Amino acid sequence: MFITVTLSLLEGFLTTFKIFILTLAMALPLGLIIAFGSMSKIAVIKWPIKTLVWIVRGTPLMLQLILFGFGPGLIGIKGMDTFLAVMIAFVINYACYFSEIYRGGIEAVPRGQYEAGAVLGLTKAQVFFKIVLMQVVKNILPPMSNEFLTLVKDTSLANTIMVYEITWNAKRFMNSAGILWPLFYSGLFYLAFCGLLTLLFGFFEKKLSYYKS
Amino acid sequence: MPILEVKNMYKSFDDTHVLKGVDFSVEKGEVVSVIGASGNGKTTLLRCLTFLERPEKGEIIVDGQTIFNASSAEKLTENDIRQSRLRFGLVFQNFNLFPQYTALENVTLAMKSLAKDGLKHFDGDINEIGASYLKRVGLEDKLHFYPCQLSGGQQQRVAIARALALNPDILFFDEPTSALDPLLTNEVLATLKKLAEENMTMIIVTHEMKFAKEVSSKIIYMDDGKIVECGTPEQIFENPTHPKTREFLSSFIDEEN
Repeated sequence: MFITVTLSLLEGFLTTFKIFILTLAMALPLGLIIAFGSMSKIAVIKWPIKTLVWIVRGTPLMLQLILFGFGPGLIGIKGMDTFLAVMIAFVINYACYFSEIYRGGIEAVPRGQYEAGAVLGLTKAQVFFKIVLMQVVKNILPPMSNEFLTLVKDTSLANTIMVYEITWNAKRFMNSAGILWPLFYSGLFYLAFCGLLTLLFGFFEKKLSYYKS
Repeated sequence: MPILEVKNMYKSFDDTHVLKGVDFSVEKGEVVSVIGASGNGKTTLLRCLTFLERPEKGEIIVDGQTIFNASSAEKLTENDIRQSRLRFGLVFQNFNLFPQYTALENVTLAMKSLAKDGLKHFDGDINEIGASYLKRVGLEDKLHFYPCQLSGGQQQRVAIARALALNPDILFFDEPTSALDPLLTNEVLATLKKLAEENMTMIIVTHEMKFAKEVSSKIIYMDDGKIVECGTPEQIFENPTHPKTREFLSSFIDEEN
C-alpha cells in the first residue's frame, strides 16, 4: 500500500511541480510587462491594465480557474485542454500579483539613482539594467518568497477543474480505501518543497546582503 | 569666449515660478559659487543645466555651441541630451552613489558604457584610469569598498571622482556638503579647493560662505528666481550693493559671531 500511495503521490507531485514551474516561467516576465504598463504615463495603457490587475486580484483564483476550465465549453469552444485552462488562470493571476511586487520594488529605488545615471550620460535602458534592476531584485526578494510559497500550495486548486495534482491523488485514497495517512503524506511533499524554496530565498537574500540601499 | 552662457532662463512647476529670467556666463577655469536662501532656484538652475528639468524659456550655450534652446527643445532626441549632458558633471547633495557597486565600479560604470557606445574615448585601461581619479580625491585605499562601508565625506569624494572621470567641461555641485557634519564637510571642501587650484571650471551651489569667499573667482547671489547680484568675492562680501544681498549676508555674519 505504501508503495502504491508513494507512486501515486509522486505522479501527482509531478503535475504540481509542472504547474509551479510553468507558472513562474511565464508569469515572472509577464508580470514585469504588466508592472511597466501600470506605471505608464499613457492613460490608455495604464488604466486598462490597472483595471485588469484589480479584477484578477479582487476575485478568487478558484473562480478564475472555473471560468477558464468550464467557460470555453459553455460558449461552444470544444476540447479545450484542462491543463491549458489551469495554466492560463495561474499565469494571469500570478502575473498580476508579481506586477504589484515589481512596481513596489521599482518605486522603492530613489529618484536620485535614475538622475545620477542620467547625468553620467547613460540611456534610460542602461540606467534600468545596470543600476536599478539589481536594487529592485533586492527589494522584491522577501515578498517574492511569500508569493512562491503561496503558489506551491495554490496548485492544489487545479483539481477543481480535473487536473490531478498531488492533493487530489491523496484524497482519492481517502475515498477509495478509507485511509487518512496519504493526506498527511502529501502534506510532507508540500512542506519539503516549501522548505527548499525558503532555503533558496535565504541564500539569495544573504548573497545580496553585502550592500545596503 | 565664455565656456558657458545661460540666457533668459525661466522654469516653473505648475503655478510656482522658480526661475524668472536667469542670465550669466562662466569663463574657462572659473569657480563660481551660487549663494542665496533655500527655495530661490539655485538647485533648479543646476537641474535645468543638466537636463533633469526642462526650462520653458531660455538658452544654454557651451563653448559657443547652443546645446539647448527652449523654443526648439521638442526636437531634442534622447541622444542629443545624452551628448550635451557629457559636457557637464553633477555632484548631488546626497551623493547618489550606486549602492551595489564598489567605489571603483561607481567610477567606471559610466566610463565603460560610454566607451562601448563610442561617446567617450579613454587612453588606457578604464579600471586604472578610474583608480587614478579615486586617488586624486584621496581614496586610493578604498577602491573596493561599497558605499555603505564609507563615511559621508568619502562617499561624496567618490561621487566627485565619478563625475571627474568623464572629463566634463564644467562640474556642478549642488550643496555638496549639506548632508555632512562639519568634520566631513572639511574633507570635501579640501577636495574642491584642490580642484579649483587645478583650474577645473566649477559652479558650486553652497551655504558655506567662508569657503565660497576663499575659493571662488565669482559669486552669484540668487533671490526669488533671479540673479540679484554677481561679482568677485570682495565685491559681494565686502561691498554688496543690493539690499537683499546685504540682508542675506548679515544673517551669516550674525551666525559666525
